[in-house]
Amino acid sequence: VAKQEDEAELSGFGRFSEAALLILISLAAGPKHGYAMTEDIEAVAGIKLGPGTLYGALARLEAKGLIEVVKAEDRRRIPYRLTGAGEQALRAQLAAMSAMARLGEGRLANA
Amino acid sequence: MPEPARSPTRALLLALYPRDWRARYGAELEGLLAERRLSPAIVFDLLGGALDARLGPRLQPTDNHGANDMNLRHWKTCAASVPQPTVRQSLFGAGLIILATLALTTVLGLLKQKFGPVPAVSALRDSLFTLVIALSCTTMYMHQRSWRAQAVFAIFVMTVTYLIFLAAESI
Repeated sequence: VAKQEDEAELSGFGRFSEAALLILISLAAGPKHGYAMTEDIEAVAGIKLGPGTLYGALARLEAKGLIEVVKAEDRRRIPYRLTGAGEQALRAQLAAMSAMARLGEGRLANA
Repeated sequence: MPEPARSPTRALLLALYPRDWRARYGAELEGLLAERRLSPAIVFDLLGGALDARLGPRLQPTDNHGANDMNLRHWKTCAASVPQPTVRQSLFGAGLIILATLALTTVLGLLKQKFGPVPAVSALRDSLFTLVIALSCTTMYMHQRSWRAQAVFAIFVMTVTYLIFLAAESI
């Protein structure tokens, strides 16, 4: 049940679900501010997150306690990092995606 | 590091976000925008983000997952700066919606009489309900802003809404 709740953390984000997942994956490599996240996500996933989408997803992740601010002097470049709950939600989401990928590959192999 | 001057377009786009949202994320968003060319896709994305920030769920960091003191302090300040509408403001909003409905239906009747069922008139007929809803959203969600800001936002949203209906009518 706890695992399903962790997966549901992101699916409840509506149109921000994909952006939220990409942000969590980006932050799994270490704390980043908004611009660094968009650059990283574009490099690894080829998706350029718009600033409105980025901050819509960041606000939701922060409100859910999945990410938190790292104290910084420059208010225009505030870094974020994963919280324990964020790491748990990301692991659950990635496990669910892996299981779905294996299922699809298995079905394709038998097709 | 000195902050670069804000361009009027960037400032206008940021102004579309609610005051409490800007207090929390405004400086960051401004910093991000300073690093990018303002393409139509980014403008569209920001308009969507501003609508979401105004009409979407009100977001506050939970304090049971380690949100730090700075965040909580920010949000408490923001929450205190957004007063609930007074009875007078609510009554004014309700009156405005009734008056807008009356005015728009009167204009619609006059235009129908004069021009008949041309696309511009049909679009007004079809969009009337949505226009009044757009106006009511402004009075509900922007009551803490100046009259000028409310008027600009209402006119902008109503114009865009009408143009969408007009485009659909002209296809």
